[in-house]
Amino acid sequence: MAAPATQQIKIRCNDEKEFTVDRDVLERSVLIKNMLEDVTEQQDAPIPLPNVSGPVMAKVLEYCTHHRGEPLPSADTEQSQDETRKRTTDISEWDQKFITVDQEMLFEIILAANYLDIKSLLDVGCKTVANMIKGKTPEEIRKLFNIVNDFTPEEEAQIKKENEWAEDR
Amino acid sequence: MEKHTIVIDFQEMSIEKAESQIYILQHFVRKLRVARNALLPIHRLPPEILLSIFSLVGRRWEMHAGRSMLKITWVSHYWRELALGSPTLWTVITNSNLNWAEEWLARSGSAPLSIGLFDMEQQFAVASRHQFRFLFTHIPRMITFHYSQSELKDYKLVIPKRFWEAPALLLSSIKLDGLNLHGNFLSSIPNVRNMFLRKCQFLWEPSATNYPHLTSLHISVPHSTVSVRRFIALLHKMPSLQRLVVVSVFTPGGDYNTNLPAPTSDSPRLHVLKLDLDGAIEPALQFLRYALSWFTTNQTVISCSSNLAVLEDDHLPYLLSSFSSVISPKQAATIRLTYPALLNSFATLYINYGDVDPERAELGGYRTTLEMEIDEPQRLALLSSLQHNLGLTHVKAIKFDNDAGEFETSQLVEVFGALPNLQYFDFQADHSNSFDFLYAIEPGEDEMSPPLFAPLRVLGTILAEEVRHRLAKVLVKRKNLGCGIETVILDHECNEWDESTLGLLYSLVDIAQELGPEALEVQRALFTGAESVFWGSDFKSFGDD
Repeated sequence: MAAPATQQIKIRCNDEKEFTVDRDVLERSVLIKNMLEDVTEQQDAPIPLPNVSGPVMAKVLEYCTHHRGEPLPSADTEQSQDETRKRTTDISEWDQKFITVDQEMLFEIILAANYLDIKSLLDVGCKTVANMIKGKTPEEIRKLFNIVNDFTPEEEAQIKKENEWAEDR
Repeated sequence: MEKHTIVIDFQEMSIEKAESQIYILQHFVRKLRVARNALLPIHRLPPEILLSIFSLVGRRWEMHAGRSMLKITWVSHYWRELALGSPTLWTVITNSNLNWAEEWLARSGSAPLSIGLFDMEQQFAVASRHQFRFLFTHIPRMITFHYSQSELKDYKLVIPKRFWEAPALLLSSIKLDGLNLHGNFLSSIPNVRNMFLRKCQFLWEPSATNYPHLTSLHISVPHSTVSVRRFIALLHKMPSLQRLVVVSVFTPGGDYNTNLPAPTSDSPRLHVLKLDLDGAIEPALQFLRYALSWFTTNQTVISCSSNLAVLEDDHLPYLLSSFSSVISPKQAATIRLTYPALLNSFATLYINYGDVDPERAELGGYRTTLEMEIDEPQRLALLSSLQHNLGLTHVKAIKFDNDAGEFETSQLVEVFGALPNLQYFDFQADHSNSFDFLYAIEPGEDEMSPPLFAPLRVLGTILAEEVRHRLAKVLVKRKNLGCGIETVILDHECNEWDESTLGLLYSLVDIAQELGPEALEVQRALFTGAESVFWGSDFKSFGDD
């Protein structure tokens, strides 16, 4: 007997860009998974995703396709992963290659992962930003993200003090 | 939206007026900077995500975690407000921020604290004692306290005896390593849920203290031993205990056939029991028998170092009868021993031999499986004996170390040739003849019989120059026979990129170019020394370069 064909689901992004994707790939997103579970009958209308643009969704789908079939984090594993996340900022080789994008896209991917509830992708994004920050001076961090120094004179004075006691001890 | 208009009258200017205007302008410039920063891409991230990134930057156990957290607060007004307004970012005290503990404790508000200090080089001099005392004024909100040091030290020098002040169900974990705890220390910590005591010294005095919340106890105290009877009496005061790890606890001597008190309704029901037989063997065996007939464990792990000369002839039947009378199919037992006679007797158990690799956890279960390191001829003989006596069919992982070149090829062919389900073959073999047997037991290209290791998931590690062409040939043969290798690990001090390693790499590249990486089924070659991974599809491009 032939295996049942994978169900295809249509989604529509905020720029009207549409994707037709295998259901199991889309179900990496807990948001979409829950939406699909709520719909009992086959629906032809695309699922609207007002918070994600086409180019970002394409990247998210690339990630979901690569990781399809992998177990989704359960409530049990979530706790241990949370513990692990605190200890490590390691990222797998494929994920590293995948997330090597410009800052604008990186933050958009993080936002999309947060909105779509794709925990593993959100983790990869956050770890990437954390790795960018680590080992840098405040000035270097500002330069990295184009932040300007906007401290009040009182804050400046307090930071100067903190700098001194941090150096002393 | 706020709108501001500033009028500066240069005609009617005075020093006071100018200074006042400068102040106002500076204020607005700062506000403009805040507004500008708010528009940056990174600030599109919601605060909870930015905080999650901050917590990753200040990873709790990293050496510079403390300084990294401070730097976060020196970047911008928004980052500072966000970080200082989040007490949970400041709740972990480790070596990296012990000197700034007061600041951390103030910033953490009333959030639960985790403390982990490792004094491996005795760096915490007496001067640190006041810091410890200060930390312990916060014990009512402490959820974990871990302290470890390399040499036995009087705990009064570092830790005030105030654990009893911790509220029940809050103190999750106490881990102490290398402390002389004086007196009956255990009676002072009734509220903890997980306790780990290693290389500590204390007295096992009878006590009325109960440990109603303790669910996990790991105890390894060679400096301070206890009789089996007293230890069991203590366990009866731990009704919630689910996981017990016992290493070097029992006082030597005693008759291990002595009857022990029967379990009562207060006896804990363990899920995991791990017992190390090193140290005093008789009482350990006595406790094992008692525990096996008493607890309904889901996992029983008996471990022992390789030097098990202490296990005398009459111990063995005792241990075996203990197991055979109580082990049911639902009680998985892992035996990590190097004693052949013991292994031969556990045909129905899950036998794990050697260190467990988490990635190989799938090999577990309730069948007879074997992971084994072969680094001397006696081990090979043991493997052969196990195959013969137990009819092993699930020998799946072999770590092979032939640095000394002690093995006869014919012997290796005979033993490894009878392992049809081997999936992991980890080489530690520099000697040129190490690889000959692998080539020999793989059928020749002209033979129709399937390859021995089918499918071999991992092939490693060190390959001398003489054998690299053989590996290439085996890979080609495997391809021709329709059977690949998922991962090849080359761990040959690859940082040096010596000719041998490069030669092997180019052999792989040549094969990949000739046959195509997919056909070869070498999905990746992992050069652990060089920290580089060449994926199958990269072989070609590497060759082109």
